[in-house]
Amino acid sequence: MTQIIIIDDEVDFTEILKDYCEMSDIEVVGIGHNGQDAINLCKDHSPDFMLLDLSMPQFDGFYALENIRKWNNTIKIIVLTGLLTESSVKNLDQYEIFATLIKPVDPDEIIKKIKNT
Amino acid sequence: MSENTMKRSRFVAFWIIGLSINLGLILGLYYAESTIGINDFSDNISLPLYTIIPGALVILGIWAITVSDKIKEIQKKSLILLVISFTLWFAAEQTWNLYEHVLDIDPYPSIADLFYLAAPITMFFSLILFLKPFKKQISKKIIVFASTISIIILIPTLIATYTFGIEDNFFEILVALLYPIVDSILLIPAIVAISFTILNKRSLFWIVILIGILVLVAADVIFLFAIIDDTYTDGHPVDILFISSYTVWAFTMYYLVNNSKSSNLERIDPVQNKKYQTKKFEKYGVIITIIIINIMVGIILISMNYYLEINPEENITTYFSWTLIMLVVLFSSFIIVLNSKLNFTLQKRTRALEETTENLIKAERFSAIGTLASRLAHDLRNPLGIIMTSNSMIKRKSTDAQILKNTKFISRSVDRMEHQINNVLDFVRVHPIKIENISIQELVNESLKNMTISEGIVIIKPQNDLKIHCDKEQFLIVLYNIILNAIQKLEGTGKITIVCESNDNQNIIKIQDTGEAIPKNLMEKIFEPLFTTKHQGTGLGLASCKQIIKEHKGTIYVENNPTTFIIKIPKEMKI
Repeated sequence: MTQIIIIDDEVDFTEILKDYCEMSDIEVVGIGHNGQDAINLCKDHSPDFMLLDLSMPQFDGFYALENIRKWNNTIKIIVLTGLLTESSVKNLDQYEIFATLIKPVDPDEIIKKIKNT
Repeated sequence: MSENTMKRSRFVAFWIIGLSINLGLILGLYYAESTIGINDFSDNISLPLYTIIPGALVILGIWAITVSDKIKEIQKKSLILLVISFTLWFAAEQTWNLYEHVLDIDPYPSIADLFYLAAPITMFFSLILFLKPFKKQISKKIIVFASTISIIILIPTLIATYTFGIEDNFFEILVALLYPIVDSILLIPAIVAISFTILNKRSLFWIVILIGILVLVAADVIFLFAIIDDTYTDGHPVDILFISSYTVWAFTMYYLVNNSKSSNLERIDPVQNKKYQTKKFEKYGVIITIIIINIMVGIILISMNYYLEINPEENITTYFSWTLIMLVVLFSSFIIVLNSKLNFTLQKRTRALEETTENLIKAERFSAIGTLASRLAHDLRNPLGIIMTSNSMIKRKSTDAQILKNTKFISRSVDRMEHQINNVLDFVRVHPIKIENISIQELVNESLKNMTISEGIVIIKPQNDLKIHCDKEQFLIVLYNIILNAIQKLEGTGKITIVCESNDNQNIIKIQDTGEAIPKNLMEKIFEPLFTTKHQGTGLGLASCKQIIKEHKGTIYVENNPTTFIIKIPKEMKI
């Protein structure tokens, strides 16, 4: 079964997305709320996918991307973000992103992206 | 030749002719004096010349200051100093006239000397101010050259003055020595400036001013030697040089005033100006004050001349009276001109200021609201995501028909909110456009992909295909907004036709619908920000479209029968 981790500072959102994923036979092995959580969870579980929010307090998504891509090139990262500006798109280009989805995201679209690999 | 340069050359020609006539007249007078002899030459000719010409110089100078905002040739501070130096010369000449012609005395050192010495110093500072901005462009060689020339002139004149005045007391020698010193100090920046202006082909104005200075310095030197030789009498030909330099300067001031009129600064249209008519006091106060001063001067003069016997010396009273009358009339008229000009400028500035303030407040408010709206829109995305996901979850878990129906309502509302948020963010965000070469059919398909279209609506996609140069993401926003507008307008049934065509230099996209026509008075208004006829619209959709098309250097407008949105963008865009 595909294993994923979900990183978003919006706790309710991570909870409900976890339920939805599990309902769709995707195993959620961890939930985090900032960039540091993302790094730790990635090290602990080495999941197939990571759903990552960009703007989070303290350690943001870019912090996690920068760190994780140094030692892990296999994890597929789906970025979920509220706002895509020119600069953030440019920054994302260097990290080999699997998909970028703009919030509010239809959960079925996430599932489709994960299942279709 | 443009109209402007023609005007200018005509003006220069007029200027040169006027100057030559003037100088010719003065020369003629001197010639007439030396050949046939004119009675009381010094009283009848040189006294008025020394009064009228420096007087005209001062008046023109002050006039130039009043219009200094429109003068390009000289900075305001420098001009003011220049005019002060003219005024000092005027004062010096008048004091001298008073001593020489009225009082028949020859005091030395006197106030006249003070004025004569202060004038070149003021002019020196004016020149320094003029040269200051070009400090870097002036080579040291020129400065050394100028200093050498001025020292070469200074040393013999100093020696001559000193030997001449050796029997005088110390203070008298000092004053006499100051003249050549002051002149040579003035000569340094004058020579620097003249070589600088000629080399850089700067305006005629400065060249003439500087020629005037050189002439004046030359006149001073000649005057000095004439005094030493004791050949100077009033009406000596060296006066021609002094008067020439005053005349030349007077013409430069006239040149400034005249040039300022042709400078293309804004003119105020009278209709708008009406609103800013000054109040009665401001309008008549100055004139009333001037009238009172004139009356008082008149009373004083009349009483002095006819009733009181203040001074038995008839000559002085008459001279004093005439000078006073002349000065009062001159300065009164000058104050009136200045005042009206000031009022005019003040009104203009006040209006400009009011407009700017209004615009600033508006802009600030708009930008604050814009920031708030975009933050709000952005922050709403997270809770909206939660609602959307929860809704999908309920939809999947439930089999209850009523619940399923409700989830449909929820997702439709979420869609609508999402659309409105995007509207706001599309409008607020500033994107640099990224031009790609892309097919219209692809664009149309992609924009329809995310749209919910009810069954009664038929969308006819373009039959042919065109490649257009545009920013894909931005153009999708345009198509999406226009098509969505049409769908909403049709209320469930109707036809939307998308056509593309091209002419010589433009690609044209037409989006037609069978819905109601757009009222004629709203055809332009619908593209304005915040204008909406729908109760759920943000009023930003079409405004964003217009903004995006404008960034593509194209146009967007609407026609009726059938309602058609027409987008035209140039075929060639830089990629």
